[in-house]
Amino acid sequence: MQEKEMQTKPVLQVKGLKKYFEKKSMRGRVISSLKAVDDISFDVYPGESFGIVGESGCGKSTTAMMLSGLYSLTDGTITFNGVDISDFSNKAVKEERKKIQMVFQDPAASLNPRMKVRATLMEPFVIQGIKVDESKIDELLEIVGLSAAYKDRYPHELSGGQKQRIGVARALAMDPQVIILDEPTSALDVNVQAQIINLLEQIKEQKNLSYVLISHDLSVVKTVCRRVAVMYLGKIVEQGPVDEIFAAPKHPYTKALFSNIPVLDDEKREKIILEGDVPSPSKIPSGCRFHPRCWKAQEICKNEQPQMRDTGNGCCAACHFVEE
Amino acid sequence: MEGQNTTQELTVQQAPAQTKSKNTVWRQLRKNKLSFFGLLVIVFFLLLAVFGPWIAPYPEDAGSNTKIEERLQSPSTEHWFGTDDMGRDIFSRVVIGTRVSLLVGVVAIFITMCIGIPLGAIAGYYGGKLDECVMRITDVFLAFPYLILAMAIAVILKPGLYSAMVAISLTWWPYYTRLVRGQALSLRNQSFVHAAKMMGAKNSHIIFRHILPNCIGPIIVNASLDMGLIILATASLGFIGVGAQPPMAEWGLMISTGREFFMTAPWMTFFPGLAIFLTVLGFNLLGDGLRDILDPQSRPR
Repeated sequence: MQEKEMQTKPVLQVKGLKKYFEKKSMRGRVISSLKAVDDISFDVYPGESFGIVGESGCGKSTTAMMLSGLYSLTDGTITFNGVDISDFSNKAVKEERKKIQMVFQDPAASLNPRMKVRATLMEPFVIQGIKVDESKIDELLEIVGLSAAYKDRYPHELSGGQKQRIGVARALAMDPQVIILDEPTSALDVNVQAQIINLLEQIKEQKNLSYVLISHDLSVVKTVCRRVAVMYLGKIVEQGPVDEIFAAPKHPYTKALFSNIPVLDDEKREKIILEGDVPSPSKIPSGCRFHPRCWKAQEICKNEQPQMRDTGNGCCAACHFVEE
Repeated sequence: MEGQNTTQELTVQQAPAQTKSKNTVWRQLRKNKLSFFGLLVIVFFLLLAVFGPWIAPYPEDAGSNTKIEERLQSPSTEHWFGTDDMGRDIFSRVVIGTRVSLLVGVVAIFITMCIGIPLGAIAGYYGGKLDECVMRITDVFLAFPYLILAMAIAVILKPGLYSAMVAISLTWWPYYTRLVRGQALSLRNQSFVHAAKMMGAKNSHIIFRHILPNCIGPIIVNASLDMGLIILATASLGFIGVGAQPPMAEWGLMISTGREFFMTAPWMTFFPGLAIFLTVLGFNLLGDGLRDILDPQSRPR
């Protein structure tokens, strides 16, 4: 099945994506540059969930903002259904982009506190100039597992999980092909997290959607995603099928990250505790970005940026010593 | 609140009956005694403003009526607040003056909002150079004490009640621009605005549907607090002589004329002053209460 899916064309193709936040002087000289996302590439296939994991500040949310068109790109291309949608000042691109929707991290902030659920779910249609009646709203609510009575509620009358369901319903109203899930469960209680994850899985099956799941919660990524990219300081350090990467991570950073997932037989496993903090994205280390914290670091790591290398089973990692 | 659907099947959550009352603002206001008192004071003055000419025992005294034989009488059963230097009944003039003061307050606030809110919303939402320009203009206006600036504008416009109103509005709008700009600045980065953008919403749609409705709370709070200040400012302009002109029954102007007779007829300044004090107090108390209710940051949890 994996083979078959891989043969189809990717729905979303990201190549050399970069986002630098630059502070310019009055004369236009760049004073400081923050490399939030620095040259990342990945593909998302139809019906697939693609995960992006990493610590906070690694650039995964910036990536989500670029995919959703809320940030402009410094460099690189995003191709959606074979159409380049990188330049979203273009009108045709704007139309195309509507098929990419997003579910936000904070369910409280994702709904306008002054709009009832009905108005929130009506909004996508109003904006597009489509006339729909109440039954469409009921239908959307039903998909996300809420009864029609909820449409007369204000957001403050809903629980966190219910708000997130409304957020999902609003995204679905646009009839999207790709939904970007930016930490969709991190603001929720654990039992509610499971409900939302199940809901998202069901909807994906029903509508044949693709998800880009941005998360720092590795267990969520493991349950939901088929393939995953691990980000560190604005770069993807390792990428591949979830099962492979979780079973045998190749990059030292991934190893360290995954060794800290709590498991039941915790004593048997050795945890890798990294030394030091993540460097600031405005002062990125030379060579391999991970070298100041890496226990394998050699002279070459300080001087040369490692390229992505195939590590078998569809995985690739950016480390000079992956073969070991 | 959440239903028990931890299983894989999709169970629809039924909405429990709504318990919250709709008039929560009203209810909370009732609970806050001080601001409710403020509201009562304002309602009292509003009634005076509307029915003033019928309540006042000598409505003809509002203008330049002269009764020399009755001048400078102290308060009595016939003239509750005494009479002024022209023999006019001060109680009648204070009552009739309510309409002027409240009207000036409302109109000035309205003009202020008409200038301040759109500018603030645009500056905050679009940001960048536009924001920079608008904010520097407000800085220029805010660099002067508002009364001095209002005086200057009123003088240029030819002293009178209407120029006082315009002058106050022109000095007051930067406060609203700043207020709304700050709100818009934080609202434009909220996820629901991002969601609207992703749906392809026009900027005007976002400003009218998402930015402005969420600014209403702080605007109402500020407006109710400013009503008091603006009434005070109008009275001040009247007192200085660049606002309402004689023989109009305007509180500030009445205090101004009473100044000459302060030692012999203190009631001429005392009662209009009391009226100003009470209205300003009423609006301040109400505004404080509304701030507690409408401004979530100061709401005790």
